Amino acid sequence: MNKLIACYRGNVNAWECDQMGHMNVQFYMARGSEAFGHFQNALGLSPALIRREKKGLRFKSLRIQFKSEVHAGSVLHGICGMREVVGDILHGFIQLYDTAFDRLSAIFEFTAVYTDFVSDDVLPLPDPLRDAAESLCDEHPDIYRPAPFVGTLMPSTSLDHMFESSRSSVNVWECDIFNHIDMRYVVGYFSDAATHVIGAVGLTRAEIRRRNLGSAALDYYTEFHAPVKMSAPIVLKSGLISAERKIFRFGHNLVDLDSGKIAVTTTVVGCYFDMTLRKSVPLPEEFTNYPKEKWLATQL
Amino acid sequence: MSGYAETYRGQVLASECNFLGHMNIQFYAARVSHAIWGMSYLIGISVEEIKGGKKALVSVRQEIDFRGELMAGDILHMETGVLKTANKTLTLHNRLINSATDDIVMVNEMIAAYMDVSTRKAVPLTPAMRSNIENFMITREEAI
Repeated sequence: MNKLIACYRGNVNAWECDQMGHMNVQFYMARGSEAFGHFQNALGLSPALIRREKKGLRFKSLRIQFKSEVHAGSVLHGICGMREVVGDILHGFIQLYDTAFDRLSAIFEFTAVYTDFVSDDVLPLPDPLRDAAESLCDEHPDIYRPAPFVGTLMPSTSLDHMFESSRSSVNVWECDIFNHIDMRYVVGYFSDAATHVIGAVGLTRAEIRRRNLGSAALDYYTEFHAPVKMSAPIVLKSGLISAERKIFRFGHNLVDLDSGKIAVTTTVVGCYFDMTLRKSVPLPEEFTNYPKEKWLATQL
Repeated sequence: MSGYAETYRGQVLASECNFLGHMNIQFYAARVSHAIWGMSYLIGISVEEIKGGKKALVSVRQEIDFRGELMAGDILHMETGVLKTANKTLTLHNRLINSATDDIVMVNEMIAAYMDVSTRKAVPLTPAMRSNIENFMITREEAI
């Protein structure tokens, strides 16, 4: 029995592509968010039930791996499935494909917990949900499964040499009906913050254009510590974790200024590429010359 | 056998809902837009043509029946079939379905022209496209 669930189909809009000429990470996340609705429905959590009960699944951790670029006009489809149930935590995945080439474009590996959307309390899995999840669990041997995320992870603590890369408040239109920010907008904050980290190492946009360079995220690992709710004042603190050979690593902490707590922690692994050849290149010297004592990795 | 094929799948955002509490009509159109691109690919308009903005299906007429409400969080998908073809156009039938209930919430009948983007003129459907379209033909009786 095939336990895969159809969860997305559409195309890439021109306005979802950034200066690198490919779909920006936040719009991958938009697809992932919508796919998560189909995932929940397959487990018996229909949208109507979620609205009525005000309970449903919420990400606890989220790994996003970007496997290949997609561009304006690309046709996409998505599948999702369950991997395992551990205690009260569900482990599932969503995969987005570039349909025309049957090529994997992005994967989302996540853990999720059953949550009261009013109190934000994490709840035990109800028996029907547990049963449905377990019935969908599978090794999925034919489906790509990423190796564990390796290297330095951003901790949910403040570190020296982190700086403010964004300051905002959560807008109504960024929220779901339970007044929680949708993850697509959080990824949008991370995406914008990357420009500021790049600027902090001394690389200007003009110089990036002169060298015909683009940058791309390869891997995100995110942990959710607290909900981010409508109109909350938020600040994003970011820093360079490390930069070696072709790979840079950024760290972000999204802070809810009302509570003073770090709500979301993310580690981003990325690279630079030649905008014409679309091939990765060694990191610009501004990265490799950046003082190692300022790397967040030295504090970890 | 029905020629309907899935051309869109997604979810309703809270921000797409208006003060009446349901998804505003402009966002139905956004889903239809996805469906056109999906059908373009299925009938063999090449990736190079689509991504290069060289040739595309463009909507020249639409008739829409809204049959059910969609609320924030609802999951949905679109099925599209081809009712008929002409020299430069084809008539598509799109039906938007609430994926959780299987209710059809919107049907959209559309005449789409095959357009050369450089001349901004409709051009004849190619023999290869006509061959592919055969796989997606539906009858008027099915298009309800």
